[in-house]
Amino acid sequence: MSEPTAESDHAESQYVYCLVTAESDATLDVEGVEGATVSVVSTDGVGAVTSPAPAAVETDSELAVKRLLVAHQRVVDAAMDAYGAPLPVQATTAIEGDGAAVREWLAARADDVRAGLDDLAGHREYHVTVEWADEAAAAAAHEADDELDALEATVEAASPGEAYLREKQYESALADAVADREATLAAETREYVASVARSVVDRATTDGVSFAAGDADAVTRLAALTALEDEDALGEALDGVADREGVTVKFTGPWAPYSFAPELDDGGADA
Amino acid sequence: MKPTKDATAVVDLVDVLLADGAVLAADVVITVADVPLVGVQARVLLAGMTRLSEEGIFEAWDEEIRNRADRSTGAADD
Repeated sequence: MSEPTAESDHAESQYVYCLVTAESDATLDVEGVEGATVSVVSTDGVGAVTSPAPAAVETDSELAVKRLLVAHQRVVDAAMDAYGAPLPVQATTAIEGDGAAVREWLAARADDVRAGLDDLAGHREYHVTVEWADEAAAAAAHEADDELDALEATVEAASPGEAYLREKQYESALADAVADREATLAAETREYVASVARSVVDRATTDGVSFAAGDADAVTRLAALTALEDEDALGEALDGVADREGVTVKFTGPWAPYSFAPELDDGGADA
Repeated sequence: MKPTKDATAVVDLVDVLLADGAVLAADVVITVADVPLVGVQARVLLAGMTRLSEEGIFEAWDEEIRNRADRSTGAADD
């Protein structure tokens, strides 16, 4: 029998879903990426939720990537049920090597991981997206700004030669006023959420790529870190936003605290 | 209002899965034809999609989380 080659050892890697508070190794009753068995590799009171990583993801179709994302989320959800709020790891991350390599990686960062988990314990992430129908927003703008009514009247009264210019003036003023009302609604929404949540961040995409089709016109998109027991209070606070004419509030969760996970990239620098 | 966690909500979550969460620098990432598939590349790869739910896989997941919600309140925290 020959020893496995360095190359074959090296080729192995472990997909990492999230990090949890765990005293011992375990397996999770959930299907991982590509149907893999999901294990919790623990050390020093913390655990990495992992499964053997696929060597490559087939991307001839987008389906494989979507499957990976769904599997990722499914495992994070199962880990959250079993261990409480996890530190989610960015999807598509793997650690080179076998389970021992994961344990070594985790041991080098155990203090930071534990601190992060303790900080997030008992909390969940919720997403809030607010949309405002154009007509309702325009009506609110008119209500707040009498000059708009006057400008609109000048369009109707204008001679044919003047009408185009007047209309442009009115449209520009209306757009400004609507933007103003939307900014106020966004600020008020944030205030409502912040009155309950421990922390609130904007969910603006950083690179301009978003899958949230239809959200392009959203007045605001927020992520809120909230204690589990405050979920009802957060919903009640949002009722105060949703009650307004033409306003739609999308309220989703509870999610793992993706938007509030700490940086963990320095732990192994000197290891 | 009550928060929802259905298939539509998961589509909304995809951005977050790829953009957020702890980033483990210097570790390997899944590769696609020898090209590392990190979050941003995967996002670009998927950017053409307008309806992630078309394949039905999000619905399957939706069903699963509903079943799990029936079994557990999800409150394993201290």
